[in-house]
Amino acid sequence: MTEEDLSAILDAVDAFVERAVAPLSARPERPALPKDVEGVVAAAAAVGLIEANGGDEGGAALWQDPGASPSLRVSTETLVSVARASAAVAHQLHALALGARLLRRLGAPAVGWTLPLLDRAGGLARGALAPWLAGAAPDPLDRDLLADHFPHPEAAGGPVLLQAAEPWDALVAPVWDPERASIRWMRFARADLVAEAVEAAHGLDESRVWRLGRLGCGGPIEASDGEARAALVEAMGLNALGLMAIGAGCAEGAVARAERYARERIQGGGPIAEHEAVRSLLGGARSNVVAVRALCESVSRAPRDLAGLRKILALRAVAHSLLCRAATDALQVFGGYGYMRDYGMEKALRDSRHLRLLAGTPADVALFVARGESS
Amino acid sequence: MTTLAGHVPPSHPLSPRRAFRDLRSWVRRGVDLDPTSLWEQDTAALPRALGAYRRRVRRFAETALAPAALRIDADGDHAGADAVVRAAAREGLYSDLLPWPLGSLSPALAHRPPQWVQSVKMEELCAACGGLGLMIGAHGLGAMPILLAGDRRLVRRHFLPALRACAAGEPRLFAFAITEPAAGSDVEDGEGASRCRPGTVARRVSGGWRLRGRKVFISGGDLAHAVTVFAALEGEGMESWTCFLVLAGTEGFVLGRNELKMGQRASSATELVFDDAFVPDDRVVGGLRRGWAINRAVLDFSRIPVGAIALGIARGALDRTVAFARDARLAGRSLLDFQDVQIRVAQMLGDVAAMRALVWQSGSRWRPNQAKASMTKVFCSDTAVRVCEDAMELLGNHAVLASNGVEKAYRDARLTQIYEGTNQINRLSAIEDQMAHFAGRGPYG
Repeated sequence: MTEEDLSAILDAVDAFVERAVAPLSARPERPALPKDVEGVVAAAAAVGLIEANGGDEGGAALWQDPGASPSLRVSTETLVSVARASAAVAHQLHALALGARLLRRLGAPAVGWTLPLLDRAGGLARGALAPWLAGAAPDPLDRDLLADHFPHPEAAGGPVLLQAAEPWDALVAPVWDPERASIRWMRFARADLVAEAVEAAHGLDESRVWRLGRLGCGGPIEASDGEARAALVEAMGLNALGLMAIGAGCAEGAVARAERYARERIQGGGPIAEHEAVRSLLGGARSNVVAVRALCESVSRAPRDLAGLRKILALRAVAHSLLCRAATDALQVFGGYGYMRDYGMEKALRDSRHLRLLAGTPADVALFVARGESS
Repeated sequence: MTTLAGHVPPSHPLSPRRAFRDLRSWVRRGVDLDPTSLWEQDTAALPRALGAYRRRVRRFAETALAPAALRIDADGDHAGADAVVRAAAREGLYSDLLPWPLGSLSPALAHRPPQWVQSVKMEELCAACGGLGLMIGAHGLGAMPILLAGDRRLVRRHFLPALRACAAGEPRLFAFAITEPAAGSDVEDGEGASRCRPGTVARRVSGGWRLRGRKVFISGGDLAHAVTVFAALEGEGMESWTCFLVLAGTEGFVLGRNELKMGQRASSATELVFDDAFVPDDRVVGGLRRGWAINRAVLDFSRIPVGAIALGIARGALDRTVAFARDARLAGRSLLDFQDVQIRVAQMLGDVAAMRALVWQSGSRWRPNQAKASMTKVFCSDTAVRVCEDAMELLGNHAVLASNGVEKAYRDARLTQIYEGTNQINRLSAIEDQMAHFAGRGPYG
C-alpha cells in the first residue's frame, strides 16, 4: 500500500464519518442511543470499513490485516477519524472488528457480530498476566489473580462488565482453565447470556455498560495452548492500540473545537486566543494529541510476543494521561460553557476518562510493564 | 478488618502505638497514641463549638443528602431536591449566616470568621453531594452583597425576614448574579472588565431603575426569592457597576433555561432575563457604582468556601474509594490488602489533609485576602480533581458505573476549577494582589 493509497482510503473514511457518524453527535446533550449506532455499523460494513467475518488478509477493513504496517495504520487512523465525531461509535467498530479478527485468527467461523471479552474487570491481573504470557508457571497468588481476571462462564468472582453499543450477537472470550493453568477460547451467544444494561455510566453515552452474570454453556474454540496465548497477546495489543487511537481522536476533536472557540470568544477586549493563559492551554493540549498520534504511528504491527505487547501497553499508559489532560484543558478554554452539555466539551472529557479505564488503567498497566520486565 | 496485609497488627510489639506505650509516662504525652480517624482528630482540634457544628452538619449530610444524591444527579428528581432544601432550612443551614437570635448560628460561633464556619459546613455537605451542597451554599453567596454593603435597611427589610422564614422551614433564598453570556472572566478580573462592554444595563426612571440584559449560569437562580444582580448604569462602563436586589415575580424579570451540566446537577445553573425589570431606589445595594467593590469583596469571601466544596467532594471520593477497596475481593484478598492500592489511598489521604489545612488556615482570618482566597480555590479545586481521578483509577473499570459514586465526584469536582472565576483568572487574581511586592526589590535582588 502506497502513501497515496493510504491517503485515498483515509479521505474516504473522513467522508464516511461526515456522512454517517457526525449527525449522531450533532446534539451532545442528547446523545444517540446504542440502537442508533447499529445503522452506522451497517453503513460501515456496506462500504467495507468493517468485516463481520474478519475478511481476508490484505484487506483495508479495521484490524483486517494487523500484521502489516500500512494496514495497521489504516485501522488506527480510521479510529481516530471516527472518534473525532463519536468515541462510542469508534469503540463499537473497533470492538466488532477485533472480535472478527480473533475468530478468524482462531479459525472459528463468524456467526453474526461478535465482541471480544478479554477480561472480567480490567486490572490486567495486577501484572500476573505478564509472566504467565511469557510461559512461566504461576505461583499460587498469581494463579488466583489469573483465575479472577478471566471471564468465568458461571459468573464466579462476580459479574463481568462489557462495554457495547449495538449490534452484537455473541462474545468471544478467554476462559481460565485451572487444571491447565491456562486459557481456553470460547464463544457465547448473546441469547444465552444473563445481561443487564447499567443505567448510568461515566462516558461513551451512545454505548452501554453491560453487567453480565452467567455466560451460558458457550462453544469451545479449538486452539493449542501456544496459539491461545498468542491470540490473547495480539488481541490485547490491538485493543490497547485501538483504545489509544480512539482516545486520540476524541481529544483531537475537542482540541480543534477549543481552538475555534478561542478565536471567536471575546474576553479582555479581544479573542481569548490572544491571551497567553489560553494559548498555554491550547498549545499543551495540541502537543499532547500530536504526541499520542505519534505513539500510535510508532506501532508497526500487531504484537506477537510479550515484548511487543508490553511496548504497546507502556505507550498506552502514557497516552491516556496525555489525552485526558488535553481534553480537560480544551474544556477549560470554554470556561463555564465547557461545563454545559450542549457544547460537547464535557462529553469529550468524560469519554476520554472512560476510555482510560477500560482494559487496564495506567496504574494497572504499570504493574504489567514492571512484571513484563522481570519475565 | 483491623489489620491490612503488609502491616504488623496494632497489638504487635513493633507497632508504633503498641511500642509507644512502653515510653515513660511524660514522653507518652508527646506521642500519638490516639487510634481515632484523621477526621475525628481534625474535628477535635477545632474550637469546641465549631467541632460540634461540623459533627452536626455531617450527620445531616449523611442522612438527608447522601441517600438522595445519585438519584437527583441522574434524573433531576426535583421533588427530592425540594425535600432536601426544606430539610436544610429546618436544620438551620440557610439561616446560619448570622448568630441567634437574628439567625440560627450558635452564638459561640459568632466569634469565628464566617468563611471558616461556612467552609466547615461546605466540606461536610459536599462530601455527601457536591450538587446538593452547592444548592445549599449558593444562598449565602447571594446574600453576601447585602451583608458586605453594610446596608442595615436592606438587612432589616429583606435579609432578616428571609433568615427567619428559612429557620422556620420555609426557604426564602438568595442568588448571586454576575456572569453574562458575553462576560465570564471579564466580570471577575479588573483588566478584563476595563475593556468589557456591559451586557446588563440599568436605565434611570422615576423612583428607580429598569434593568435590561441577561445573566447566565446563576446557581440556585430558579429557587431564589431575591437575586443580587450586578448591572452597569446606562451610558457608563463597568466602573459604574451597581448591585440591585431584584425580587422574584418582578415584572420584566423571568427565568430562562436551566442549563444541562456535567455535574453538580442538583443545583441549577439558571439563565435570568431582565426586560426592563423595575427596581426601586431602596433596593440598590450599597449605593450606586459600588458594585465592582462589592463583587470583588464577595469573591474574596466566597472563594475559600469554594475550596471547601472541592475539599468535600474529594473527601467523599476518598471515603467511597476506601469502602470499595475494602469490600472488593481479588484473588481472595481485599483490594485494600495490595500495597500499590495502599500507596495510592495514602496519597489521596495526604492530598485531602493538605486541602483542609489550607482551607482552615485561609478561612480562619477575619479579613480574607484576595491572593490567599484565590490560591485556596485554585489549589483545592486542582487537587480535588486529581483526587477524584485517583479514585476512579483505583476503582478501575468499575469507576465508570454511576452507582459507585466516584465518577459523579469527578464530574462535580471539575466545576470547582471553573466557577467563582476559572483557575486561570484566579491565578491572575493572586498576582494582581501581590504585584506590588513582586515589583519591589526583595532579599535576592
